[in-house]
Order: sequence, then structure tokens, then C-alpha cells
Amino acid sequence: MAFFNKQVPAPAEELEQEEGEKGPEGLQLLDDPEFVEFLSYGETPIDIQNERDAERYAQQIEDWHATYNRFKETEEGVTGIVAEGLEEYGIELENDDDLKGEVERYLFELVHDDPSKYFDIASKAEEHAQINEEIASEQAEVEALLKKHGISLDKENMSDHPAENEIGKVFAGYDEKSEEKSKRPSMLRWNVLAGIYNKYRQAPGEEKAFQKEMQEAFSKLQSSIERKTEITGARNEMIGIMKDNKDLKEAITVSLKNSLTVRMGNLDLSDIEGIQKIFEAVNTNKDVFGLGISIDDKRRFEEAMRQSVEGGLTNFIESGSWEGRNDLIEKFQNIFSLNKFASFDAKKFTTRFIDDYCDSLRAQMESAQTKKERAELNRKLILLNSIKQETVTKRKIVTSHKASIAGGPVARRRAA
Amino acid sequence: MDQDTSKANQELKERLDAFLESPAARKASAKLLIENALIQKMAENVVNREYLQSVREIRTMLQALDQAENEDAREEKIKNIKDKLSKLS
Repeated sequence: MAFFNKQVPAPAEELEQEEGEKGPEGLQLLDDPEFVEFLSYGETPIDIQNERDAERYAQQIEDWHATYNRFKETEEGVTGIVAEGLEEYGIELENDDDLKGEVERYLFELVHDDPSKYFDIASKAEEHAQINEEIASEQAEVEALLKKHGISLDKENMSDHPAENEIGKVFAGYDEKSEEKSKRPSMLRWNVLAGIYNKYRQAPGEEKAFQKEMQEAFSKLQSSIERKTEITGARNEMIGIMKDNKDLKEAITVSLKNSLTVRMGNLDLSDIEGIQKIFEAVNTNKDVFGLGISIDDKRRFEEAMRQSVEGGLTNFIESGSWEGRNDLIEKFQNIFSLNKFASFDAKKFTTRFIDDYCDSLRAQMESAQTKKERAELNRKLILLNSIKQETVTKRKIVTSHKASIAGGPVARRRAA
Repeated sequence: MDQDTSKANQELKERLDAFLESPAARKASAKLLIENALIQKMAENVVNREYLQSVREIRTMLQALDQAENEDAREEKIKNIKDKLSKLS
């Protein structure tokens, strides 16, 4: 709401009164309350001391109005794709006024903070709808041709995919209303590695099996990471967990290349050189954050968690007594200690406690009777997972930091 | 689990419950949900585009069935179509 803190109501009127004529055209755009609301998500404008300031300000308003018009043209499509995505959490955006308000706010803030990112998302939302339309059309044509040629599909020739076992269900995976929706082809989930890690976390005797499974999963994921990053421009979506420092370096390299978050478990803390390299990378790439290191020692693990959260991280950092530890933590804190996660006092919670709590939420999910109940439980689960695994708050902060450098038209012009 | 631990855990659980219901937590989870929804959907474009390409190829193969020189060639083409259909994913 800072955009028009003081100046908004005044400039146009004052200029009219002083000069006896209408102010610059850009300022007249402020008669539109919706546009004014849109602007209110932006930054504080320059002070208007004289006519030159007013003209500059008016030009900025005109630029933002052009952005606003483009935003209005795309808003529906982007909201639509958000709604589709939310359905997978059991949430009907149409019936959730609070969340609808949050979506609106999110999009307003995004277009102000990073217009190019917003418009990139808008074009991908459009592409999403267009591809789905083309798929529906092609599928209909293929089904008609299969019928025309009397081709039926027998099980011997089919894959195990249940949706593909008979004609007519060939494309069930792409029918949005189908019960088979969950079986449609999908990107590999980002928690695959985390799942494997958790599976073996309590099994120290099975390190080879862990490494093998992890390496296989990681190699499968690599191409997906690159494609996903290329397509979505998403940062910090991948969590790489590697067992030893050799794999760790590879994970770091790939993840940094793709601007992704890296997380590790069971790092060999005696490899100071390797660790230093990692932190140099972190230091020189401020888009990478949420780097956490934990070890299999309960006391140190909890301490790492406490320090991480205190330092603004939701991940963990090692808290041992090895050389360089304090410097390391300080570096982390310099980079990340910008905020704490809401009012959540993680000092009192162990990951095990949160895991147990998540399990109880999942159990409730199974017996949930309504979509609304499931949506609420999903909401809690996603937040708890973020506390455990992601650096949500940091993501926001880094976005803000970047915005102050890159910014929208206003910030860019001001910087120039 | 002794009584003190049980009581402490119960208190923690209540605090966590309260946190998850708080406006700050609801706001944070809303942002997460929105971001996840967007990322997931946009990532689908890659898969969907590949899928679309495969379906197009199957359609082309089906359209070419009429040009089969004889019954054996036709059967071979049908086999290839079925094979490609089976790999759709």
C-alpha cells in the first residue's frame, strides 16, 4: 500500500489548481480506482516537488497502466491454471474466498516485483490451455480412426498402465474429469530423492543400497530438472540429497547450474575443502539458499535445526565443533538471516515430532469426509513440509531483494 | 513415555495446532499452495507437449493405414500403432 502513501490524492489536483489546467495525462489514469488498487501493490513513488517530477511520475503511471492492461488480459488465464493446480490439493478456488483473495494478491505482487516472470507464467498458462485443447482434438481423431479401422487393443500389447488397457480408455489419463486422472503421465516428483533418503535414514547398514537407489533416481531426475527449470524458470524446486561428498559435489554442480536448492544428508564433515567449495558457491550465488547439512546425531541434529531456524533457515546446518564451523554459520546467517518463519518457534519441535504430526494429519486425511476437510489438511501438510524441507520465507525475501534491484518500470527508471 | 513427556508433547501439539490455524500460517500456506500449483501446472507443459507429439504421430500412422500395399503391410503398421499406443506416457 506504500505506492501512494502521500502523493496519490494530491498531484493531479494540485497541478490543476496551480496551473489552471489539467495535469499530465498519466495522472488522470489515477481516476480509475481499480488501477489505483493495482498500483498500491508497488513501491513508493518519487516525491513530486516540481513540474518535471510530475511529468516523470506521470510517465511512470502510464507505463504501469500499460502493464496493468496486459495484466488484466492475462489474469483470468493465470488464475485458471492456479485453480487447476489447487484442485490437486482438493481445493476448489471458486468456493474459497480467502484463498481467492490470496491468489489475487499473489499475482498483483508478482507482477509488481517481477513483471517479466509474471508474463512468462501467463504465456505458459496460455500454452497449457492450448496444448490441452490440441491433445483433446488429436485424441478424438485417433479414437475415430481406431474405430474406423476396427483396431482394438489387447492386453498383451499394452503396458501395465491401467488406463491403457482397452480402447476408449487409451486416453483416460488425459481426461481431466476421469477417475484415472491420478494415473496420467506426470513429471517425476521432486520428493523422490527425499523419499529415498528418509527410507534409508534409519538404516545405517544399507549404505550401498542407498547410494545405488539414490544415484539411479538422481540420474533419472537430472533431465527432468533441466527441463523443468527451462520451462518454468522455477528456482529452488529441486532438493538434491547425496550420500557422500563426491555425489554431493555433483549434486551441487547440477543444482547450481539450474539455480536449485540443494540439500544434503550425511555429509563427510572431515572434507573441509569440499565443504568450503560448497559455501563459496553459496556465497557467490545468492539465489541459492536453504542449504542445510545435518548429521545422524540427535543432539546435534536438533541443535542444527534450532540454529538454522534462528538464522532464518528452515533447513538445518551442522553444529559440530569442527574447524571453520563458526565462520560457516556466520556466513549462512549473513546471507539468510533476514527473517524468521512466521511465529513458529521451531526450537521446541524436532523433525520427528513434525513427522509424527504429519502422520496424524495423513491419517485424518484418509477418514476425511469432505473436500473441504481434505483441503484444510493439505494446507497444513504443505506448510509443515515447507518448514521441514523448504525455505519458503527465504524465497520470498530473495524475491524482494531482487525486486529492489531489477524491479518494475518504476524501480528500473529510478535506478537509471 | 512418562507422564511429563506425554504432557509436554501434548502441549507442543496444541501449540503447533494453534500455529497452523494462525493467520500468518494460513497466509504462508496459501502462498505455498499457489506457487506449487503454478509450478506443477507449468511443468506439465513439457510432458503434455511430448504426449501431444506422440498422439500426432499415432494419428499420422493411422491415416497412412489406407496406403498399406497389402494385408501383411497393414498388419505390420497396426502392430506399430499398437506398440506406440502402449508406450503413451
